[in-house]
Amino acid sequence: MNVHILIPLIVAGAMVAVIAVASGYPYLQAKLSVIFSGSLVLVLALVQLARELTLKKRQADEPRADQRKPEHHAETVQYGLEFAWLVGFGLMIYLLGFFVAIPLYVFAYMKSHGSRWWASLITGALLPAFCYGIFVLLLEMKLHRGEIFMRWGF
Amino acid sequence: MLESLEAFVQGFLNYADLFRFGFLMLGVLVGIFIGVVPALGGIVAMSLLLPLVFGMDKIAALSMLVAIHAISGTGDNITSILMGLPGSGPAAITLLDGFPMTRKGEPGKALGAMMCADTMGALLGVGLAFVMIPIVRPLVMSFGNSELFFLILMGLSFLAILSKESPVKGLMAGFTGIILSLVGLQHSTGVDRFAFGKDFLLGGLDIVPVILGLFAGAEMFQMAVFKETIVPGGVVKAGKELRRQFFAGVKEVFQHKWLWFRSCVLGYVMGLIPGIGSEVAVWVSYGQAKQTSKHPELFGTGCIEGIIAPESTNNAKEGASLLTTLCLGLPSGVAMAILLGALLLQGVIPGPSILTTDLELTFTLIWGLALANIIGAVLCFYIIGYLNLTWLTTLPPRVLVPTILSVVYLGSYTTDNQIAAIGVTIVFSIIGLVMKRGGYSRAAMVLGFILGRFFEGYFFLALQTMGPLFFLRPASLGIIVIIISLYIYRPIQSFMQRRRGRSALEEIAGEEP
Repeated sequence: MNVHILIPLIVAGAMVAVIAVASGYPYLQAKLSVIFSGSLVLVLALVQLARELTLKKRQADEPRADQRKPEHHAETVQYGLEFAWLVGFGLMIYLLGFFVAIPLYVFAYMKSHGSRWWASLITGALLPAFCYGIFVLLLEMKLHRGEIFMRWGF
Repeated sequence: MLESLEAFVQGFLNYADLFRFGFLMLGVLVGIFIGVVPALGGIVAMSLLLPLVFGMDKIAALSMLVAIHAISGTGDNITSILMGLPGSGPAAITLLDGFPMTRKGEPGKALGAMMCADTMGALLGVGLAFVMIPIVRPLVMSFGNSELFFLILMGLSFLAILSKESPVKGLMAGFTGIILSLVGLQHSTGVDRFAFGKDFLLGGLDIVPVILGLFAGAEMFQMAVFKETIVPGGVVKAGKELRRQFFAGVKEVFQHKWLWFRSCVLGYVMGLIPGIGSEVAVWVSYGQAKQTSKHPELFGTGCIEGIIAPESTNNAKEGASLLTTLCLGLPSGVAMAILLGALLLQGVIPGPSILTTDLELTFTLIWGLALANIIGAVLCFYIIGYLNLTWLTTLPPRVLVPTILSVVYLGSYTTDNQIAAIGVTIVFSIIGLVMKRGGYSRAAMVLGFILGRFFEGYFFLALQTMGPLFFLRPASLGIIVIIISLYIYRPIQSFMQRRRGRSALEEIAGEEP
């Protein structure tokens, strides 16, 4: 399904849920803004959906100019892969902490995307050193040490 | 009057003392450095240095804090313009047109306009401070919850304008932003709204992880998928060319002098009102610039006016905020609250009496704000023009994506020391990418998100304290008139143009035999 149709559809669904949840709040002060904004977004999403559907009918044979047409499948795979990197890095930070996750991620990402091993290694080493210098030494902040290490008592 | 003039001059001369000037410089350097790191704005630096203030020379200590606050925003804007990496709400708005200008190969012009508008805004703030001192008290006191509510409404009225493609999409994004801002405990009733009992959501979503996700995260995601560099053609100009661009940007500010002046006055007035932070002022300024521009369709695509207006407003606002903090003891935001703490630590009691007992200090700090901006602009010019930071924009995505993503996640985490903030950034990176692909305005969502909670809060406060007819107060009616005139300005302008065109055609037709 087209992203231009999917977005208002998802938003409309989400707003129905938002309004349903907010209706159960005990005080008017708590529910008024949510129900008002939710209803407005719901109406707007339905208007947008109707516009997209009529537009799609009219332009059934003409693909939209702002969409990248070729290699649609390859693009989806690429989105999936980059999404995995994005989420994976977040998970690595949660499990291993910043100062293990950052060098691992930087090295792995750069190496797998075609960088030379020494460039990946140097960037992977310099970036956490820079972050450590600023956040820990200079600003005396306590950064997350990682669930695994904390459970082991480090 | 003569006394005020004497204090005004003496305030400037206080910086002839090398010790005090040195601390002002230190503040500028710390401000630039801390500003470029996402989420580590001036507030973090000011709070870290606050304990050092005790026992120091009064003027040196307070000048250092003022300089940090004044310059951290400039540092933040540099990464916003060059890399699409905003660390705060005001920097996100500079990104809207600054980052597209970098992508078009004009980073120097964007930076030049930003710094010139910043500096000149601060200088006008100093000038206005001198004029405004006698009327600041009655003006501030005329603003109550009702007026604050309508000011927020004025900001929200720009939601539809912010969307390039369609007002429906702009409103959708904006009101979704308002709903997102309502997540957490409702202040007056204590009802848990969409937090589902989770601690990190009870206080509401923090602005920094949301902005970092919507803009920086989404850009990195797209860059990684399409293997694009920040400047796709690799056309970043270096050295002399970059400096030429920088001065072209400075020239643009002078060419848009009325926009600059209007934005400064707007910023100054909004800065006088306690409770209106930079976030609100810059969005209102951006909205008015777009609404009154001859080519509003260019906003968001790299339009110089989209940089000049919010930057002028932001810095002119600081002069006014400083004045209300000092003269009335009413801080306009967190940074000014920290400064208020520093004043108390130094034994200075802020309030109307400061105008008689410490008028010189008031002007010294206002001058400090202006001087810090001038020094900051010169330093940034040398850093950008000679060290050529723009080479960062030519790095390939395989280097840029992991590097920036690491900084983005760190920035998100350090706002609240919550690992869940990284999750919020990831979610908003995906939302940002989907919105970008679907042509939905991320700026409208941020505007709704920033103003949503204020909107609800001030509405109920106005209703409780002033009753259902709260909008009938003179100042409120004044703001309502401004909102309406902002909306009818364009239709009237196009009507007049059509009429002028028609009468010109009739004249030509009449002259023909």
